[in-house]
Amino acid sequence: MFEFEDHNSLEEQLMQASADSAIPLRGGLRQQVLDAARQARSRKIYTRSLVALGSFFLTVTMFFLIHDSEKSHRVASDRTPGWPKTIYVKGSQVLGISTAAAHRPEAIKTDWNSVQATLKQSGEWGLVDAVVRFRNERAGTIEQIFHRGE
Amino acid sequence: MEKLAPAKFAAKIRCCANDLQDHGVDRLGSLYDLTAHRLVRYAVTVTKNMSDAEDAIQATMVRIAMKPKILATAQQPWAYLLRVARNEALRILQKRKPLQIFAQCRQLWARDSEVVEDNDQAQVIRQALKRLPTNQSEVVVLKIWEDMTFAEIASVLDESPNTVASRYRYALQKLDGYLRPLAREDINV
Repeated sequence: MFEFEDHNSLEEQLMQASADSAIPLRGGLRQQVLDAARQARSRKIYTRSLVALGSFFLTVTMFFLIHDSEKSHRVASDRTPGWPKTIYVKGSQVLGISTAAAHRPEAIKTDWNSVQATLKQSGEWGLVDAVVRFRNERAGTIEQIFHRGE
Repeated sequence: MEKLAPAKFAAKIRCCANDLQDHGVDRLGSLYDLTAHRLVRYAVTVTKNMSDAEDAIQATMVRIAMKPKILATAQQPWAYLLRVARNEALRILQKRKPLQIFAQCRQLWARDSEVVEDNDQAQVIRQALKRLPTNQSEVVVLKIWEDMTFAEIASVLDESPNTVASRYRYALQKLDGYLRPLAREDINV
């Protein structure tokens, strides 16, 4: 069957065999391959959607977190009539009152009732509650609290 | 199996890849029909068994279907496809490593008791190729059956052309050794 004088003839024999070397494939393999490819594509689309949805939720969460943290250090307007100090609040908790010198020329009323009245007038109901709580937790007038550094 | 000229075959593969890219996975069939028989012939030389070779072809096709652009833009699409098939075949073998020792023992036993009943020349050559180490038999398949140059084979196997050429030389020496006695037997008969 085989004749070898050198490797060239062996190569020729191998080459001749190549025509008959086709390996029959399993009948259902073609369909199996196509199904596998379709499944892989669906999986890829599903994964991409999941990643996109996850990114969206992450972005929205980050947005609200940043938005809330900016909001939480709310500063009551020092332009409210009759109140020269700035009240720093976080949520409904009063963090402190500014020690900055008053830059208002008009007479300032610093008793609790005036402060509450001013805040009520400006519609800052949350701050009114916070100021009441702040007052209840401390003794003395606003000036005394301020001088004590509370 | 229709034997196309390498350039024409590469052009057809590129065409199928472009089609796949444009129309999606549903067009994978044409690439499969064009290449599966030749791919499996090569994959069998790596895996040494048909079912693993078929699994490797399936994994190759799925991989190509997911990223057809790489195949469409490859300089040598057929070499690229063979390389993907080889990687998939090696991955499958890697997964089956714990069972490999058993399989090798079985293969050695089968080799000793191997009787080539079928006198078909292709069958005899296939058996002889099976007896070669994988790295040599795949070079022979790529060189002779796939009509590739040593440089192209080197790019598929990620080896230097010199290494590939020497593997080819050793493989032919061994094949010569395996097949010559059969030739003598034939003459004596």
